[in-house]
Amino acid sequence: MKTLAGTVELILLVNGEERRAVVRPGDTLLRVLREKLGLTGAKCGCENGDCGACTVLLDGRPVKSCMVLAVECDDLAVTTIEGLRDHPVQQAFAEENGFQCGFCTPGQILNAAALLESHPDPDDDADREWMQANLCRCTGYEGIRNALANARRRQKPPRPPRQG
Amino acid sequence: MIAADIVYLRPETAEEAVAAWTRHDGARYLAGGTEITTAARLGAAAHDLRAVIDIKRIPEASIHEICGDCFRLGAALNLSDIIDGEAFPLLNAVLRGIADHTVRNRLSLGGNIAGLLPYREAVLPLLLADASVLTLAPGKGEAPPVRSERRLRDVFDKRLLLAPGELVLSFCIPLDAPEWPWSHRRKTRTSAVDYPLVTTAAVRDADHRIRFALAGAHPFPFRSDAVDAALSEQGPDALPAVLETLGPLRDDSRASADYRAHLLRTMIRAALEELA
Repeated sequence: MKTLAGTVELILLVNGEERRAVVRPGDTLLRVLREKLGLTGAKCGCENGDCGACTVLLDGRPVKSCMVLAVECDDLAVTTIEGLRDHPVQQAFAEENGFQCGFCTPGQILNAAALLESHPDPDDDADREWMQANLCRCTGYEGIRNALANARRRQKPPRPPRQG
Repeated sequence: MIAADIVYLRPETAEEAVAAWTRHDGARYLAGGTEITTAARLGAAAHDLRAVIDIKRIPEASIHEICGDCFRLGAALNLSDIIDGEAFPLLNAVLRGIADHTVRNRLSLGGNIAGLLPYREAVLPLLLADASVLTLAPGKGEAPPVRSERRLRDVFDKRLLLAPGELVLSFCIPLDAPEWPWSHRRKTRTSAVDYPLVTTAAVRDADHRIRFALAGAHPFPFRSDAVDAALSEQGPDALPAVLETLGPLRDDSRASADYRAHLLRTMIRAALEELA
């Protein structure tokens, strides 16, 4: 049985790289990412599982990192916003001004990226259900919605023009 | 973050988990951890929390398969995995109403049902389906742990009645229950991602009787034979008697008792029409 107490060295796979951190078993993934690994993209909002600013992907699934203990993640692939490089969703958010203050943006983008991965075809119900997980304190939802639509267009190659 | 210095234990079997609980004072079982991490941050659980026992690697707590004439759902399964399994439409509908999908990617079935929050909506379909619950409890003294499978309704009275250290492993749902016509309604104060003012779940069973359960209107989930009998025999005419049976409703800053009663009348009528 795995037993961890006191302070322990933890090896995490973050954004495809093996990262080491000395943690306490009670440390959340959010705190370890920000305070031990210097990855401050995941934001510390409510720390109550409500706002979604701390969203990261665990094995590709979006979760709120404030509600996950870092020690639970030793065999899971963690993706933070720093791990996305010129992702179509990032480009779409920039093009559509899908942000205002930007605090919620990393979480919105990671959630949207996972949404497009699991629901590649347009699906209004899934879009609504998934994006409810992230609050925008600036209420910039229109831009976020447009960015999601833009990202879907980027993902799908344009149809060839009809012949004849 | 859990401020207290805790021990993290990750057993591979249910027996190891229960043995760990007996060895560590202040230990709690952890699957999704959504309630433990937030409660600990608020100080509500921090003072006596000394160890967490992560049950996600225990195979029988993550089971999701048909066993004989029932299908078994592990207590450590997260709600999203159950929804994706599409085994029980009413259960899916109820689970989709709980929190948001990123929380459901962690929140476990057992955690929702055995948790401290008053809603525990995941138990409603299981009570209606007459599911059973498999647990493992520490033995007395040097005795080995005790495994028992009991009817959920017999061990759920306002909350899941567990002995100290008793670990919930899985729930077993009769295979015919997902075939019954069902109704689910959920009213919140503001957005869809919110605790329910009232959630109702109802089915018409194989004997064409109505089974009805609710959450949110009381500080606990509710199901009673008297309400089932009244709704089955009298339909909407039973509403005054049903509200009488339900007793005092929650009256708080989110909704008055009168408003919850109004919602209940409307929602029960709609459920009966749906199941007619």
